[in-house]
Amino acid sequence: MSGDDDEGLREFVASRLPHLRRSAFLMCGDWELATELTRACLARVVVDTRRGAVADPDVYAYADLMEACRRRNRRREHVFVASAGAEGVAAESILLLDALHKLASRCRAVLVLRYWDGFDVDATGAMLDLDDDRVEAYERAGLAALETLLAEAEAAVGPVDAVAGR
Amino acid sequence: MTAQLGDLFERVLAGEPALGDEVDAVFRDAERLRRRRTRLLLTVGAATAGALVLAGYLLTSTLLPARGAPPAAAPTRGATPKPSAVSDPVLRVIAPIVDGERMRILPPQPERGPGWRRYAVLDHDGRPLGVVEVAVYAVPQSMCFPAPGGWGGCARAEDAAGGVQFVRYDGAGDPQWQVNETIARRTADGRTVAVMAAGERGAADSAGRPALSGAQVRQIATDIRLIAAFGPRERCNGPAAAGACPAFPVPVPTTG
Repeated sequence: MSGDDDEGLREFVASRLPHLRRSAFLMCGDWELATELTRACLARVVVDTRRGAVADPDVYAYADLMEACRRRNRRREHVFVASAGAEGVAAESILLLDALHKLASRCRAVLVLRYWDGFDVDATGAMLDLDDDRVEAYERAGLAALETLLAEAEAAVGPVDAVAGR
Repeated sequence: MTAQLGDLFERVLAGEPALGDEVDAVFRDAERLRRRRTRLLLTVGAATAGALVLAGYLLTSTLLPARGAPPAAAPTRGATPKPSAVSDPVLRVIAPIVDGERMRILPPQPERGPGWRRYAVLDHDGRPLGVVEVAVYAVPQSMCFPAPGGWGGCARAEDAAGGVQFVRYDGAGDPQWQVNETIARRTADGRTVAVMAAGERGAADSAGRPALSGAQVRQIATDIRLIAAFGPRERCNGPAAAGACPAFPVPVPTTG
């Protein structure tokens, strides 16, 4: 492993870490868990890239992270776990995380990758090992379910600015 | 909805904690992961190598004959040859002596009854070399060892180790049936064994010699493990009874 390659890896990790951690948080609703999953995921990217086993680090990292979130989410007990020292969180954030939590993990991953990370259908399919039709189907189903869930939440707790802006 | 979802996500992420030294932590984790994988690889490699060595050893020790051991004898008389290490305590006493002569010993059918055992002996080509028969008796303390040749009277018994008295009757058969026999008695309780090695029957010039010499038969008969190899209440009821004991050229006088 040359020093240049290691430097490149360090730059990759530094640049992707914040965004990956946010994606992980949207998937699991827990900043501490999101940090842990992201760190473990990037450690695997580093080790496997050094031994030449990674063709596209971005696809590898997001695919690994989404799979790790999906596995951990089976044991999820809380909709939202704030970070230590956080000053509180807006009600609509809780509602959105709750609505996301109620989606199937594949639907949630498609929405996060498409609407937060901004990947196209092809890249999303590569990361989740799905063909394009399945990605689009998950996206449609996820959006519809999310809209319904948010509407129900809005009816139950009253208008929420962010959601009511539709 | 779709246009605003990104904005909604942005708001949800508002309370994001600071990153700290997470980049360094990633590389520390990567190093730990690399070491763990290396250890795992070495462990799996060592376990695989060990399993291969063990499998090779088991395979070769199963398929190849032991060095210096005679080839396995062909089964005869419908019996299956057994190695010496069988779970038959009587055979465990006899087998080492037979094996030492580069022969094989195995139980033919019928091989046993109450108080007696019969074993066939084969040479290394699988040719029969006669039988070895052992029987145990409960006899009165006043038993006298029969005199050789059937002349009546008592034979003078010799003493062996372990409180055993014995008399050898080598060549006690007839010209068509060569036999070496020893009768041995445990003086402590009178339990008595008769051991006979008999050659194959035939005409006077074709009768087979016994597989074991008179000295070897004596060695077996006076082995203190032999009587103990039978059940404590096990005893022969004599050749006339059902499931009868073997007929010895010099029978053990069970009536005193």
